[in-house]
Amino acid sequence: MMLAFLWALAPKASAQVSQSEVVKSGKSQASLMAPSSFVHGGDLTVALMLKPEKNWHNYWVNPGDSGMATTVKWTLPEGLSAGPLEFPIPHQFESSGLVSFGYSEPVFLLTKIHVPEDFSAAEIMIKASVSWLTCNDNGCVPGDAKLQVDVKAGDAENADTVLPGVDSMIYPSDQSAKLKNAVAAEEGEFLVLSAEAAPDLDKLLVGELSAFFESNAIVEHGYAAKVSVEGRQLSIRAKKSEFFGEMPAEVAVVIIPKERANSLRLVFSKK
Amino acid sequence: MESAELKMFFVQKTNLTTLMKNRFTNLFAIATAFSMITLAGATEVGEKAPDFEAKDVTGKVVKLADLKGKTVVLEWINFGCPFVKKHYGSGNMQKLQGTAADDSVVWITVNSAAEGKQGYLAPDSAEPALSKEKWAGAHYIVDASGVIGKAYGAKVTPHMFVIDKEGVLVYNGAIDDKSTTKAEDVEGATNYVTQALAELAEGKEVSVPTSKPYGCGVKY
Repeated sequence: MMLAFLWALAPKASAQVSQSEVVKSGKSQASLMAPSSFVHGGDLTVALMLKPEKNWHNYWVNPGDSGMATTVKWTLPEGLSAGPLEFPIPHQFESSGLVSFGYSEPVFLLTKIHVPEDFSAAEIMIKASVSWLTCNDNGCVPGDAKLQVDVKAGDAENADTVLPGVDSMIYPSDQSAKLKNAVAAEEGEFLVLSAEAAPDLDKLLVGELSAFFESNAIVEHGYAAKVSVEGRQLSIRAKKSEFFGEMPAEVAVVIIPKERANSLRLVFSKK
Repeated sequence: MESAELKMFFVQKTNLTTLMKNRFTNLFAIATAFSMITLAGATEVGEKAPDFEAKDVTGKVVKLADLKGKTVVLEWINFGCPFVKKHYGSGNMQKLQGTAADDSVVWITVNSAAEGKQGYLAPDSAEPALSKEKWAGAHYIVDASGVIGKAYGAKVTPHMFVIDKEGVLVYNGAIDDKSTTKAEDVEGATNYVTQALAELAEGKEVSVPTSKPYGCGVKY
């Protein structure tokens, strides 16, 4: 069933975009979208659209105290592989004292597929097996869908088409390369991330900043991490989770300014 | 650690007559829940597990301190939660409960959903639900005030705790390492409760004493 017109951020019917059917399962609808053509040697961006019913929400990569991150199993032609799922910046939800992270609005989760120069086929069938959980204050309902889009070999301009709706989302941009001495250390009941930021980065680190941790069992989700910038020195102080085991080799954090107009992803290494 | 002592007391409606039907329902006959609970801050592994006293849905008084000498498992439950359905639908939870009973481990299932919230089960209507799900634990406690849940810091369903024979909390966390709602993921998962119980039985230390629990939020 083609229900694309039901999407709040529905793509306009376009020759440049391929879209799967829209599948409703549980309390959300899901669909897959990609540029209608690819070029050899290029990257293809594929978007999974997930739209919860009103007053329900789906989850970020770290669902928080409860819930479940949306996951996708990709089936691609031999020689191709999908990159990690990129989630837009999440919101925080609170219920009965528990904190979780996710979206009550429709979102687009992205992945990049690199197509090698020597990839021989003229068409790529992209298949996704998607699992998600949609919750509200009263309960949770799982959903799943098997989706497919086909992309044909074509011109570069079309392959670079920005998928409609995707440009309205804010995705964290990984700026870890602009940090020096980015380390994660334990200080009693706290987890402290510190680094020296490059000059062009500290311009982005202004105003009221929130830090969202990508890993699930590291910090207390209900404790608002303190993000402070003094000169070029960045410091993020969070409370360790009661389920904190060993310090992981890397701690990834998403920094979101109050205005939510941009976002950084920063990775810190175990001291 | 700061230790706030809080004594709680709650009484729920009794409905004896409608349940006196057969031997099995007799088990669940007395639906009075009467609890005196000492709430002692957040619970950490390695510390004494908070004591509690409550009546289960059969009317039996369960007092943790009286279970000294036995290993105890606490399971937070909500049959409406997809993560709970995963472990009951696959028969995984009932299997664990059966094995626990065989090994003289006392399995206590706690429902901390508040009255009026999703998953709340009135003590006098618990029996049909437990029977339908083939629940096989030793005690099912309706903790609608949430005092037991909050004493343990139970966050989700299922959230699992293991208490050793000395009354010390030795495990706090997830049931296993596959945080999904799919029954097929039960097979091949490392079950932390099974692992902790096996290690305790061999006199070993629990190798994974905490893990991040996964599930639906407890509906306090």
